[in-house]
Amino acid sequence: MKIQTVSATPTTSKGEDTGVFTIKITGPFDSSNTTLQAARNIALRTGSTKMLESLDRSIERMEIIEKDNEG
Amino acid sequence: MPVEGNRPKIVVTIHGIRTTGVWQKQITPYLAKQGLIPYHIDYGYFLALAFLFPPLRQRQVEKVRKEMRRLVELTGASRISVIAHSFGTYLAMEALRADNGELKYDRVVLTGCILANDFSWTDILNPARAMVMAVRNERATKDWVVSAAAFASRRLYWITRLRAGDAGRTAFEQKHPALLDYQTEGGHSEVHNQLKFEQWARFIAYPLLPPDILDLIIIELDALRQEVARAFQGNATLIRINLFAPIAGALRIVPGATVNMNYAPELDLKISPDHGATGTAFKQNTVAFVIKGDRGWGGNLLPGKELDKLHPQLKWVLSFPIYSKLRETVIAVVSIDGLETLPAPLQADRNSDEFKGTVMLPYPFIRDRISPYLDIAFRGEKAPETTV
Repeated sequence: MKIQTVSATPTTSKGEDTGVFTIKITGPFDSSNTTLQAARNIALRTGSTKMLESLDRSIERMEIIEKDNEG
Repeated sequence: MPVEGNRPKIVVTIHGIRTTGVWQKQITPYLAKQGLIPYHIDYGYFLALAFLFPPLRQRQVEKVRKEMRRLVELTGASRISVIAHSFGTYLAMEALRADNGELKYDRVVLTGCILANDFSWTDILNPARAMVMAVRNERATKDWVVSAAAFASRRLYWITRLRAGDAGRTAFEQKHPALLDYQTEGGHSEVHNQLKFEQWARFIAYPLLPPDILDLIIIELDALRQEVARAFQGNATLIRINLFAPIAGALRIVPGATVNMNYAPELDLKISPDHGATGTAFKQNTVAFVIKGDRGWGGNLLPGKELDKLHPQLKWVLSFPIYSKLRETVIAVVSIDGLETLPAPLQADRNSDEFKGTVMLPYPFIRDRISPYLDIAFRGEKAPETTV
């Protein structure tokens, strides 16, 4: 899985700082990915069991995050 | 109440030939149950011979078109939904085609459909034109009436000038994510029953969520709030969650689909795609994050009157797109936000795995536990019963 910060700096509109950061997540989920490991560690550390279950299911299914919205 | 902006949705029903549409009266309470406003078009008992005679048929199309245009003008609705049967399916879509673009449909249910099988749905459903938002075609396997219409079109075209088909029996040739196809064993009016009436009403009411699905989504959103509070080391009472969906040309909070939202002005938020974190998540299919700094929201793209609706203590917003595999597009956004303080993990370096891991963590939960309910609601179906 790749987790890419699309805009490391805030996105802009007409030169104005919009303050919106976007983070693109693409798949398939790969358990060796360091961001994914960080997410698992946070869930484990804080006892966020339901989010952890869903994360592990995504890894198990090798889910692919979908293509861009064109609508 | 299903809203178009702040107006209830209007549903036009159109009957077929050689009938005065008993089903239109029967379906009324089912539409009312979902908060929809029925409007029944009754053009009287229309003979089969008149249907085959082009000038009479075209006159009927024009009368229906004018009646719907007048309905739109009187109510101010930007779109109306339609449930049509048999010749009514022809009238509904020919009226749309004959109009100059002012008439637009929201959701359409076709039963005993006599439209041509090669009807160009991809053009009509194309997001750029969006003449219709979604269609549900109810076919019946033994519908001889639609076969007769197809025959009259194919073999007697030199007399009838009729462009029709048996899409109500053998389906449309074109496929589209917003064109749903259902098949039933039986004849021309087989689907005029209580179960179908309920499904159609739920289908048309979308994105309003019926109570059975809304209850399940709220349970999941509240569980998510508790989980996020733990993972973000924040106070759950300061974290809120909203489900946004496109309603009347803007992203609005789906009525009732909120957790811990106690500031009334925010419930009326109207966000354009690509504006703010919610609009950005929707438009770009990305996780989007925005913080209120010392100088406010920076050059935030939300228009001033929408910014004024925000809770004065709102500090951050983290928005997640919900992508539907069924419809091949982003259909909604779950926005998690927080009041007063920015949780410590969200203050980390934005290129660090710690930051990215924190913000992506709710995403699989949303995809896994909330997204499926929206597809069920879109189809007008009921939530699966859980066994205890």
